[in-house]
Amino acid sequence: MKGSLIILGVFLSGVLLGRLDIIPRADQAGGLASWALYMLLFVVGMGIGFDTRSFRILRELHVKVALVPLFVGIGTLGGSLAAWALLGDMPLRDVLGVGAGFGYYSLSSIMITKMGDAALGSMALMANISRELATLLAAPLLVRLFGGLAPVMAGGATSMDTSLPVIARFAGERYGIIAVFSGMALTVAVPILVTAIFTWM
Amino acid sequence: MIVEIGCIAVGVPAGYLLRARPAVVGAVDRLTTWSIYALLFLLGLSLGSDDALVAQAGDIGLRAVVISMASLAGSVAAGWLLQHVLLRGALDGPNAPAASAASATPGAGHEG
Repeated sequence: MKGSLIILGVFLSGVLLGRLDIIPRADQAGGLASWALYMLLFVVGMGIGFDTRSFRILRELHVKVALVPLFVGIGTLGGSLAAWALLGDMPLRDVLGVGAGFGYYSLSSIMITKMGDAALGSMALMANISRELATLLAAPLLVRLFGGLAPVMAGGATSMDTSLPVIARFAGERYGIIAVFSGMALTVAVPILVTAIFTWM
Repeated sequence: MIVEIGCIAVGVPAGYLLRARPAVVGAVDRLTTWSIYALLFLLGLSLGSDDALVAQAGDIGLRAVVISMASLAGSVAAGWLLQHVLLRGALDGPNAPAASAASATPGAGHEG
């Protein structure tokens, strides 16, 4: 939670400084941002490579665990379609792209800013931060109403790190392990899905 | 967009090979954090310096919440189907107390 508040603070101070108009040529930051994004993607890849937990989890638990992130994807797709119908005036591509962040707000909002525009990137930031915050706040309720898997599903990509403590606490250690696996699979899926959605839709 | 996927695809094996070096792991950690800060600051900057976008901020936030809550609800529903219909409690493990007695009756409420 502290991490997302810092992120929000950094983003908002950017908004404020942009508002005050004191940074010259702020609109030319795009080229710099591209290189920063490539570097970010590379280090995100390295971070995935560091972590060999997911293979161990797949071996130890049943292969059925692999269905969990798949169903997060299916459920998110269904939910995004419903949101698209409800909102009525947004391109399907944009709604699916925002949804496909699975709570991974930093990477998804940055990629969507580059492939879409700043408005959509900001929407992705807010949508995915709110998914994470809602998971953290509602975890006990979700477990009581829908069982231990529910906060894992709600957390999406964040279930491997930021939402992991609440999942392990309220759903139990076993769901904590499932959460790590699901979160890792979805973390890998975010950049691939976002790229695919904005390239082919 | 091949470049974006390529950056990650190159990073994964690099990370796997260097995973036992704490210095590399620490550097990657810091680099990740600071590039995220820098990029989101730039995103805020481009949003803030655009008057048309600032005027829409409320609308953007509302849409964000609609999409995220619908996605979250859809995922929880899909998880419920997976656990109770497809796998019938298999994820609870062999020693689980009788197939999730704690979970509510189907359709008892659709929160979240």
